[in-house]
This record gives sequence, C-alpha cells and structure tokens, in this order.
Amino acid sequence: MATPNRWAIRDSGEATFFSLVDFHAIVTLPSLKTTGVSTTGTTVYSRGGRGNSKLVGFSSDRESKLKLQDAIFDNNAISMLTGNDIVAGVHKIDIHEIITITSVKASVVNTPVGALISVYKVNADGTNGVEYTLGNPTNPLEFSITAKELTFTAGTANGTQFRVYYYANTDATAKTVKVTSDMFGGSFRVVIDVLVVDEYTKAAYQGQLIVPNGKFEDNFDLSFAATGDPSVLDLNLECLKSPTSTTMWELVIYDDALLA
Amino acid sequence: MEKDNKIEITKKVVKSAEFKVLEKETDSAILNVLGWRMRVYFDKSLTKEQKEKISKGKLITVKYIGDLEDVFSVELQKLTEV
Repeated sequence: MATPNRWAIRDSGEATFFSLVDFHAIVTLPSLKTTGVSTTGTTVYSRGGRGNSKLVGFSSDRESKLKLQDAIFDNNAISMLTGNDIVAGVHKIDIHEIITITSVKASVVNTPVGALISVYKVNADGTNGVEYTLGNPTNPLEFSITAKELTFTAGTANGTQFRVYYYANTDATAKTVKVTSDMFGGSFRVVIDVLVVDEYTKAAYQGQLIVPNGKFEDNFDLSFAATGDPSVLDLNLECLKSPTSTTMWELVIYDDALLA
Repeated sequence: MEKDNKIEITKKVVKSAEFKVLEKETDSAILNVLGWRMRVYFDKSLTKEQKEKISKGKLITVKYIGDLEDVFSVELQKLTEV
C-alpha cells in the first residue's frame, strides 16, 4: 500500500532519546500521555502608503518546542532533565518512626547511622512532646541506646510512644538523582514513533517525528499531590538548529511492511 | 564456689570540655556532644545571672565522667558554674 496523503492521528507515541556525542540510545519512554511540537516564527512587516498598510512581510526567528508528558517517572529521563548521572549505591536517608514502649524498652526498625537526631515523647494528640536526650535512663528525660534498642526511665509506662528521628543507610540498589547548581539538562536527538491512520483506506501506518537536536529546558517541576490525577513528568525541549542542516524537526510517514 | 573477697575500686575521673548549647530549658540545657543531644542539668547553686549567660549556640564548659571516644560512657555532671 502506498503511504497515505491524508491521515489522522490519535497516539501520544513512544519517545527515544539518543546521545549527540556517541549516538547511543539512552532511553525509550513508552508511557507518554501527550506529545506535542509547537512551531513559531516572527513576521515583521514593512508598512507604508496611505493607511500605513502591510506591504511586505519578513519572516524569521523560527522556533520549535517539543513537549512530552510521561505518566511514569523514569530515572534516565530525570537524569537527562537534571544533567546529572544517576548514582546507584548506599545513601544516608532520614527516618522518623514511632516506637511503643514495652518494659521501658523499644526498638527502632532500622540500624541508626551515627547519633539519633531527636527523640520526642508523643503527646495524646500525636504531636511531639517533651524531648528525651542520650544519657542515663535513671534521669527522667534521658534514654540509653544499644544498637537498635532504646531504654527509657524506669517509670515509663507500657504503651508510651516516642517519635524517633535518625539516619539510616539504604541498600546498594538505591538510586539517587539530584539537581546541582552547576549541571543543566543536555541536548539529545529525539525520535517519536506514532501510529497514523489513512483517511481513505483506514489502514494504520507508522509515523516518526525526528528532532535532530533537542535541548532540555532548564525549568521543570516535579509535583507531589495527594489529590487529583497522579503526578506526571513533563519533558520540555527546545529544538535547536544543527550546524549541518536547517531541519528543526521532520515527520516521516511510512508503511512498515514496505521497509527495505 | 568460694567468693573472691577482693574489693574492686573504680576510680572515676572527672574531666571537662566545651560543648555547644543546642537548646536552653528552664533547669537544663541540651548540648551537642559528638553529634548527640545530651542534657546537662543546672545545679541549684547556679544563680539566675549565671543561667542567663547560657544561650543557644554558645559554648559552655561542662564536667563529665567517661570517655569522649565512647559517647555512651559520657555522663554530664550538673552545671555548677558558667
């Protein structure tokens, strides 16, 4: 079948990012919610004559922006966005947990790293009450600790709760992505595979939107909300001009059954 | 088995060091002792003026027994002077 001349599209596509340095594929995002490419330019007009009407238009400042929205957060995508590599390995994280006293003792779940940050007796309304400090449990507001087990004052009733803040180490599979003051989103070749449908035959064809140089915008948001739709990952790229081509982006419609 | 009648005498050496005040309370202050929050209680002999000298962020000299290399052995002594 010949590739269609008129077609419809209702697909967010799959985006693949390639390195501009060594051309390797970095990540494919198969869970996009929306994909959009907007193209703008500026027209300046010569005006003159009676009525000062527009006489000649000069077009310039061609710009294209690629906007992707992914339903799933991908570590590689966030890494491209931030400009920093993902680091896998042990990381110290903050823990806070509520422990309940039995026979003046209670244990935290994880092994604390270094000093406990804070220990508070939990008030009846769940808020933090009086602070307990490291010391001798013979004193009323002090505790001792051995490994994960905290020992409180002799009179502390069973069921008394304490909120303990401390550091613990993750396992080695933890992945850390960070925004740093000196690194920014990079530039990539972006290919988006979409399905198009021929208006005449209603047959499906492949489409490929190719952005030779896409630079991640440096403004991005990560939102974590307890209401509404699940959070999404927005990826916005500015299409740059290649030094060897004037193409900002191109869309190829083809019949995948006729691939050479 | 016969008990050993020897009497063991443990000598507790009182040392002193400077610690940073993290919080000031009515009758005590919470200090930073090697990253741990530890409470030093004010002795009754401490005057109001002396207590006023203690404030958050200030370094105060506190007597203690134990060894700073093992923070769990440290017992801060009541603060008698500032």
